[in-house]
Amino acid sequence: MLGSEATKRNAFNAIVRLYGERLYWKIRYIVLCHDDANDVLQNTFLKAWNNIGSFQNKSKLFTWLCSIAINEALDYLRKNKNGSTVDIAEVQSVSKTLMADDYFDGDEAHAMLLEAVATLPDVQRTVFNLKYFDNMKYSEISEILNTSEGALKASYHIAVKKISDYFHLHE
Amino acid sequence: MKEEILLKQKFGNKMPFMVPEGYFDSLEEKLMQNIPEDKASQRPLKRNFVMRPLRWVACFAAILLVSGAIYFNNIEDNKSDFKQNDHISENITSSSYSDYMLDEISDCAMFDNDDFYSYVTNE
Repeated sequence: MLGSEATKRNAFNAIVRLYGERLYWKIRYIVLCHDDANDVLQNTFLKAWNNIGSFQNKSKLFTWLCSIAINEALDYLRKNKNGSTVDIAEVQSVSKTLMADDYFDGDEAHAMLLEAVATLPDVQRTVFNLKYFDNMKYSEISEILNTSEGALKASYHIAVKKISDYFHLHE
Repeated sequence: MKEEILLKQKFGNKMPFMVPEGYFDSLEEKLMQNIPEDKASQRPLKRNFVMRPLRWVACFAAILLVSGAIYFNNIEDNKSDFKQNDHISENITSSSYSDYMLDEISDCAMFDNDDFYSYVTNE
């Protein structure tokens, strides 16, 4: 499939066309800001291009791309965060930042919801985004995150509980 | 799950985000602009054929140089070994001499059994 350089490039172009938008939204759920999502998407495809040789047909192409995108998005957040723990001041500024963002189309309650999601650890946050906003099946999430469905269900339940608690605390 | 139902009733599950106008229309082009050309295909094929024999010659010369250095180093080592051996033989004689002296001294200093009994009974 990816014999000559021209063929390889054309095939990759088709992949970008097919999955670019879907991957953008997966990333945007995590990084929240459009400019950041755009940067992470570029990095995702660059990484996919450099590692396309290591892709094995064990998983679907989109699953493979999705796991790269999510890892890149989480890495991006970690690099832009000062410490390893969740900074409360930083999290509380999420809703303010969103309300000031031209490309945010929600109200204060939506901003609060995303702020609550931002307090979650990486896995819980990812599972919550993929399940709640994207209606993805546990079996699909399991392939992307390489985690058992049971563990993902537990993570999702904990995430929902934490978000509900966050609202009780801040209302 | 009760909490999940409440969240969905309150917020729905639509992501409240927008993108700049026409962003997705030009996305494919922008993303492909950042994909580098494959270095393998950029390398001229002719240069490979020219470079290959040169690499072999360089490797052969390096092997010759290293093996020559090892060979001449060994000759030098053998010469210095002879000198060292002379030194060792001197050391052996001096050490065996000192061992002999030590045996003599220890023999003189040692008690035999009779001496020991006479010493104990006198006490």
